[in-house]
Amino acid sequence: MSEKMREAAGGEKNGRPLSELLKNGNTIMMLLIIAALLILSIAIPRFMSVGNIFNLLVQASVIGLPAIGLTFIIITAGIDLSLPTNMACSAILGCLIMQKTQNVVLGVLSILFFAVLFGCINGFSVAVLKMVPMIVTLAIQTLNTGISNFCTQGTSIGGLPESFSRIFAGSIGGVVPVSVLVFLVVAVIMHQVLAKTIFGRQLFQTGINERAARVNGINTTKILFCIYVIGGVMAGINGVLTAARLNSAGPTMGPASAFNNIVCACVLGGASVWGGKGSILGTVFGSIVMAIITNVMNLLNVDFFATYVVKGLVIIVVCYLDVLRNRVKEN
Amino acid sequence: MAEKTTTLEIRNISKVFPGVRALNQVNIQAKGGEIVGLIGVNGAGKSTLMNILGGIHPQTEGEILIDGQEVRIESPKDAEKYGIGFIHQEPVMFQHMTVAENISISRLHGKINYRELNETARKYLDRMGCDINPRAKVRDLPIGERQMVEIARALSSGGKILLFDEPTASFTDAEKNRLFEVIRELKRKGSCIFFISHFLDEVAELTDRTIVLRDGRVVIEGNTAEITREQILQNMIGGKVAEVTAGKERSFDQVVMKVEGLTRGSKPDRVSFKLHRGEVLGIWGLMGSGRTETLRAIYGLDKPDAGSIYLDLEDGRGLRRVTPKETRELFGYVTEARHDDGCLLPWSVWENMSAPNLPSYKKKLFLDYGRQRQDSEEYCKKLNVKTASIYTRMESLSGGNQQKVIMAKWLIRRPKVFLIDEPTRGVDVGAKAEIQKMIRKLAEEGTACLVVSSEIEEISAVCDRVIVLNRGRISGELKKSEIAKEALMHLCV
Amino acid sequence: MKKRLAMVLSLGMALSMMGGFACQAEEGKTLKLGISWTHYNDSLFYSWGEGLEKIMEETCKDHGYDSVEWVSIVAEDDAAKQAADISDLITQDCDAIIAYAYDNQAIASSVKEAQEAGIPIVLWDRDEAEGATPEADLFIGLDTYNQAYLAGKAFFQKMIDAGETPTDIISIMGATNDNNALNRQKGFEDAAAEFDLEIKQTVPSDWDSEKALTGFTAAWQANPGSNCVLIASDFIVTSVQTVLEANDAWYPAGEEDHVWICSQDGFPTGVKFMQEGYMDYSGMYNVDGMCENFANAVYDLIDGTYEGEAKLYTEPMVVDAADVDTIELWGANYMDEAAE
Repeated sequence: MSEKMREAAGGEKNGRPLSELLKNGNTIMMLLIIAALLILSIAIPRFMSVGNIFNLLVQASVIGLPAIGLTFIIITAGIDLSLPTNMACSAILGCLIMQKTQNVVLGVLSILFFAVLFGCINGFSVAVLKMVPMIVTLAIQTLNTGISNFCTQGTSIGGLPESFSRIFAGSIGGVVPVSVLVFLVVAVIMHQVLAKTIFGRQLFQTGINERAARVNGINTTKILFCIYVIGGVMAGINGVLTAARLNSAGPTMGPASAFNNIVCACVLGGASVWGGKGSILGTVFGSIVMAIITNVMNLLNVDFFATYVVKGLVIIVVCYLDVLRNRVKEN
Repeated sequence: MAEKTTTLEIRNISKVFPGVRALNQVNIQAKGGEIVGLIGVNGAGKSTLMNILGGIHPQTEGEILIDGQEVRIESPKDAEKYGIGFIHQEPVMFQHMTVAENISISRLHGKINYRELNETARKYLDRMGCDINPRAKVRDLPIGERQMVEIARALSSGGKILLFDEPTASFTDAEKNRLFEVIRELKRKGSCIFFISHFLDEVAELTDRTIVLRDGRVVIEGNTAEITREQILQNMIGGKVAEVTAGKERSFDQVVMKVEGLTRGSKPDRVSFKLHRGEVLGIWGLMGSGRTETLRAIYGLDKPDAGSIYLDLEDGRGLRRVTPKETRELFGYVTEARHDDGCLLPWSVWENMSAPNLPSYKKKLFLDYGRQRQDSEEYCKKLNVKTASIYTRMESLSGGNQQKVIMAKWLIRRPKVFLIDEPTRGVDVGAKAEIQKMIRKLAEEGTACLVVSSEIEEISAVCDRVIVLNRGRISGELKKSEIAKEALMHLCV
Repeated sequence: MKKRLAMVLSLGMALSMMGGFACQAEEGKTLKLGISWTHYNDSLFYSWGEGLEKIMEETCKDHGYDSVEWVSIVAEDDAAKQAADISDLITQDCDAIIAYAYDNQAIASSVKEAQEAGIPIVLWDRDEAEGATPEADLFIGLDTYNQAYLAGKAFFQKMIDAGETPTDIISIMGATNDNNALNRQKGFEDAAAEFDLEIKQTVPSDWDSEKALTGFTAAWQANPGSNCVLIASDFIVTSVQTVLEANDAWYPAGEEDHVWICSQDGFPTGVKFMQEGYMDYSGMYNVDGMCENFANAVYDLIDGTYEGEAKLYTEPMVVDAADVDTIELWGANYMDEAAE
């Protein structure tokens, strides 16, 4: 029994026989979400409307995209506190360019460029200079906030080409929002990368035991650098989608506090802040759960202060789950 | 100091873990001024017994009497209170603290007088004949010296009953002899000493009484002088074992690897040698002579300051210089500290076996998991790994089987050169013989092996030739027929 | 299995908590109003929320509704979350939405979304950025220029009547990018100009009492002879108090070294300082006026028959410290909380 539990906690176990799938944490997580959705659809009549479901998925994508990036980082027991501010800062810099040139392609590429640039700075500091991830990314967070406010003088960048928000905040066939589609596509790709490629397996080795990974011939410096760049890419994609949705970019769109939801999504999805564990599927489910919590509280018109209480409890529960999974196994 | 000597009595102790009866009605008596050797293969119950005395697990039934009084040992703190000192097999220490702080760790509270702390540490280390700096950080010490600190810690907390759990596993002869002197000194002062070891020679040399455990029971007990080696071995494993014995001299002609002037700081220092096809070359030296550092530099983990490695890639071009990146891809390297950097404990057997060989399992963009598991199954059989399945987690295997899995992961890639650091450390007698035989077999099939070992028996059984390291430099070379304790010691001092 | 069990239990607990806190809709024809606040942690917001609830409760019957259901969501100072919140309000088919915009540019996309769904949206207190499209159906705010202008004029008059000459006037303003802050600063300047006075030094605070403290410390050192301080909002007064106390200049009206202070908004702290005589004049939020404006417009907005102004600027209440106990002030309702 305890063996099964460990298997379940281990997250991704590839190519297992079908029967193993039921022991997998993600399967149970999915069943939980379905159960919650069923209960909620009975309790709240408008919950299951198509509009609300996509609304919910849009919210999940805002949490989920950076959470996918963080999953890669958290597997090495690292952290990237700059994900939300990187998103805001890159969006601002890119939108400034887009506003000046009225060129959507150039603007979107610049948003991604700046996000990757900040990711590279994080990666270089952690992987090559061997600095502590918490401190480096906190510094980048501060830097981002500084640049954001300096470039905008505290206001937001508007006056973007009309096609920008039409494309990136629109919906396919008037039903599926683009951001949801992008989120799912990115999730599928990153899942393949993490679970089925050499890079993914080497990343897990680095996360479980960096010294052993080096003995196994893995260039851990390269791995560490890459994951922070991946974090940057995710922040950039999120920046494009969020800026399009708000049809503007400003320092207000990525408060540092948004990090709470992101890390909660990862840990709910089976990633451990102690490293070595995590899966994209889990993180996607985690993001959906976090979005459901916010959405349900809005729909139920829960008292403001109670929402804080609930969120606080969720964070405590999530942290305790992480402890349960990692508790030193006796005997 | 004419106090009455300490006595320890263990009465009918049993310990039941879920599904396993680790100890079954064990009775042991010991008194101060006595060294008791405790022998058994892994899983015989030695460590469980020690853990009960050390307050890590409570016993399921039975009682412990110290000086005739029944005591309940519920925590390591209790154990310390009753004068039980525990020297662990794998040193458990605070890596970021100094040697002195670690030695006095249980007394660190309130305002700390560092001068006093360092003096205390100095005193106990001196008694062991160790010149470790009390101000050094533990993480900077080699594993052998850490164990010395561990012993000093137990001594300093005033232990009357001292439990040594394989303390010499990582020691050289000089360090071992020093330790034995300390142990004998403690015995003279009236301590009661339990000595657990895999090394039958050590038990015979040091102890007064020998107790052999098997499957949680005491199977034989008696004065060490009266029990023969053969008796002990038979009782340990319940059958006969064939020990690997030194074979005959072999000759080699084809050079596979040439190391030239390999230097990294002071260890290794201008190391040059040749390794032949099918040869097992031993590297021997005292603790701190740079054996592990030399292997790491050859494998390409640590960048050398100077020197190069030449390899015959069997492409008809003869020896050519290779980069660290190439050696990391072509060689196999079994590390000295299995749990530290040897394997991925939370991963399963098959995942560990394929971990270093991922590039060879590439199928288009992704990995071929079927082939990975197929190879694992094959090598589990080949190396006789005792595991429920290839899905079993590494951490639930015994030390010997873990070591076999680690050997297997390198064998899967068919290494050009196989670097093995301490192949049988912390491995029970049965697995030890198997692993040693395996190395011989590999060599006979043509693999060039480089073996580091602290055990002279192992070196002489396995190696065709030995180079001796002294402070990072090669101080001599011995042929198989010349390998003997005296000759080796002569070269390293 | 313990871990999974813990998870199920905790999710269940969270859900049941939400249920417990949820307000139940009443029977009959219900007017459903959604509010999106940026934050909800100071007395001005409470006062707005309670004022709106009260006046809508009173007026709904006259317009054919039996009750009012409120859906209030707080965006926790995150523009992206505010957009999501307003989407949720739209999903719930609110009859009208009130939004206190966190980002005056980004709010335009939410305005667009609401209008496309056919739900009237009213921006509260903070208007859209200039040029942002589309415009909200209605903006209800305070005439912040008049707030400072009228209060400043009465304040200087009171000072001169008392025989004092305003010297070395120091003004502590809000954020340089905030329209309300700029309006107030302009209002004070114009009021001073009426008396041929000039503001000697302006301290920008970015709406941050810490910055106000350091800025004003420097300003006071540069102008030790000042007897007159203009403040953009009441919550900065405590910073002024700290500096003046340290310089032995914090005395109530009537005493010789009294420094004359004119402030804005009417927060409970401001009301308290006026009662104690430290503050002399204030241009306060007319909370009831704002709520009345909303009630007058919202029914027509829902029916699509609204024909009034698209921007309603409510006149401020200019209050003399001498009258503070005789007039009903919004801030006075929250004095107990402020005392804590």
